[in-house]
Amino acid sequence: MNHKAQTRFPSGRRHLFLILSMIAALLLGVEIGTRILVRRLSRIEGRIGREYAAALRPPQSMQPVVWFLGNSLLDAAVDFPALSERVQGRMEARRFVVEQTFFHDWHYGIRKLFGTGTKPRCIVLMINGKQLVSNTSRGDYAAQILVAPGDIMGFVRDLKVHPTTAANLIFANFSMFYGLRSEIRKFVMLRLLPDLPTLTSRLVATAPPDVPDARFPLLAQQRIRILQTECARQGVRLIFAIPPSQDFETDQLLRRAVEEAKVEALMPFAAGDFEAAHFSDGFHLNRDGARRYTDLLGEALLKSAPWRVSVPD
Amino acid sequence: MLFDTPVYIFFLSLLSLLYWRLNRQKQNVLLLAASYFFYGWWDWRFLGLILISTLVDYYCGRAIAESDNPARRKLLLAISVTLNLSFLGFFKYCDFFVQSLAESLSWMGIPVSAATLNILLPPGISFYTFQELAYIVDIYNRKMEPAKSLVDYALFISLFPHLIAGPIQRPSHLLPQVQNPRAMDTSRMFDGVMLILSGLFRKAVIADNCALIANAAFSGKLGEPNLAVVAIGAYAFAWQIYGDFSGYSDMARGSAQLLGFHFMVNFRQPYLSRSIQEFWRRWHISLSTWLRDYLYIPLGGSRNGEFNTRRNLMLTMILGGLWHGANWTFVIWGTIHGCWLAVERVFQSALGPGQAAEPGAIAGWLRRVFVFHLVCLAWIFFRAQSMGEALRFLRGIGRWEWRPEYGVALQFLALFAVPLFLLDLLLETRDEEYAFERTPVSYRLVAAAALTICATFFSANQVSAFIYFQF
Repeated sequence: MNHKAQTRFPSGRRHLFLILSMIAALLLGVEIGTRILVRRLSRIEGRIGREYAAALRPPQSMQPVVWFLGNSLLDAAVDFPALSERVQGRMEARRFVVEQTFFHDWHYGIRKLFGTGTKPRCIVLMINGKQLVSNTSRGDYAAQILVAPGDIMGFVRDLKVHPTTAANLIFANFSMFYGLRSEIRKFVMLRLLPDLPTLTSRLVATAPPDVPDARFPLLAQQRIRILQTECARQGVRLIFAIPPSQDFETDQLLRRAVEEAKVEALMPFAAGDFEAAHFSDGFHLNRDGARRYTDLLGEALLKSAPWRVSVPD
Repeated sequence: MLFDTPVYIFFLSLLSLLYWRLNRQKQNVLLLAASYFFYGWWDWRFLGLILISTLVDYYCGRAIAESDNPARRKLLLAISVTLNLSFLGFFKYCDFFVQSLAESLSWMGIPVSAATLNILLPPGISFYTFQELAYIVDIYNRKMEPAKSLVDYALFISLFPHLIAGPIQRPSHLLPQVQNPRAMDTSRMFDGVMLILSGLFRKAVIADNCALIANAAFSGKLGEPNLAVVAIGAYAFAWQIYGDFSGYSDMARGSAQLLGFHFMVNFRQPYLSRSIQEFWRRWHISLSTWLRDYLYIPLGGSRNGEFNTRRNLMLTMILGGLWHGANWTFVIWGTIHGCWLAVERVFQSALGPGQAAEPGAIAGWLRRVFVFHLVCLAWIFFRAQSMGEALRFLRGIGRWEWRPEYGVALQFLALFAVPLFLLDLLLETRDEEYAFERTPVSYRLVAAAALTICATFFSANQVSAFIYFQF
């Protein structure tokens, strides 16, 4: 190959320059295209972009702003328009949901939101116990969406990942295309194979029930305190809303851990309030479950009064 | 540092820019430092191991070449071979043999508690050990002169593009390239970039996507094994491992080419083989030729009658299987291939040389399909985590069930496997190493753009290590 190539292409330097420039131009084009198009074309990315912008918008009224942050559990469990209506006149409720996110994602997500200079009166965070103590993260996606450039090294350190993964996270923080590439692939694949969800629903592992071990309470408390410190530094109140699961004992354990960390826990349900019929996949609430939980959460919020600076007696 | 990650591209680009500004000696020092950095990035704890074996082999090689005393030469050869095989045996097979012994004893009614050491496998140990063995054996056989400089020899062993997963380089091919000045040839560098893009396409687009289906089938996410699941799993893994390893090899060869080195071709469209013998002339060529030259031929090869030839074939394939990993599944995989090679020889002898000649187009394609399925059947053992899992999976062949998701899985698989198959057909008919290699540069630029776009939009979600990195 080599000797032939040498005789065939006397102007090899020019060709090498051409191919490298073309690759660089294509990648740059993809990066620019992602920044311009992804939020316009993808429903989920569009929603995330809108919610992020809405969270940062100045208050539209004299009422205090409360951020509801969380993952798909929040998305499925809370009928947000209904909840907003319920608390109308007391606060401006704003939601920011990023699916498949965990403690580290939200620790840095909250820091990024604060880094913009915007502060709500209160943050209501909803993730479950397993997600709170997990050492995983949404990875490249979270690095792009939820981590500020100045925080990326801390994010990488906290995740304790292999240097290759760490380098990928750093690159994903810098490049929107790289951070969102799995979502872009999903988008393209769905257009090529519209029946793909039939298959992918089987590939996604159903989350096993939380099995807290002896370290759970301590680790949960430590992490809640980290979030509390971030919020307290900004003078923001933190409320931890516990989503219902099919394992009430674990929910209780999480509530105790949150309360022992001196953070307010909202667990507006009792044993037996949510049965298997209230869940769509054993993990997320279905429409009925969401209606029920939204009612209970609305009531609990009115009692808890997140629009106040401190917890009422 | 995985070849398909931005950090590797950054590392390679930076290194290439520095490298071509230096003279040969400084280039070698820079490359050696970069190679150790690359290896240390995986796991710095094993750098000591590669350094020890490099030093021992270097000095043993020189001493063997300088000595005329047969006993001393043999002793030095034995020291080097024993050290290399001991490292390989301890790190790769110790736990496996202890576990297997304990299981055998307990099967015979002598219960023992097997305390395995949970030894970590040093990355690339199987590859660089074979390269070191080839070097020392070639010097012993006076087929080549030893390396004069320790830096040159260390670089020959640890040159980063082949360090972790080959292609296993022959000393007679690579060492002279390390020892002589390398000219900057931009046409070769262009080919190198094309090979890297081709490898990226094979790995990130084909292999990683097929892996999603293969993993689902083997892990039971598609339901209990039945004929459809077995077929989907075996086909998916066949294209996954081919895309993965040939992609790695292309990227390794492309990276080497950017630095002025030439690596041997490792794959030549193996799924277009019309016999198992041909398959092994096209699959992992650097390993199969190593096994032929350093194991099969020293065992006697085909020189001592049919029985001994088949025995040698079987032994070579079993050891080749075991080389892949410390698990009985790899031994069975090698045994299956050994059996097929032996059976093929029986048929060839029975039919005579005239019948074994070039078949017609239809017969040729039927043979290709047949050989592909034989290979797929053996892949089940290669992919399964244990013999029990492989047998349970294979028992599914006797059951029939159809679910809508199987159709989607097959469509998904076709979306990624068919392009690789067509690419192979193109390479085969045009006798090229990458698509449109022999066409004007404008065509190749279009091919490069297509590969870049595919790699951009179809790379699977997760960055996953190359399969052969575990060996």
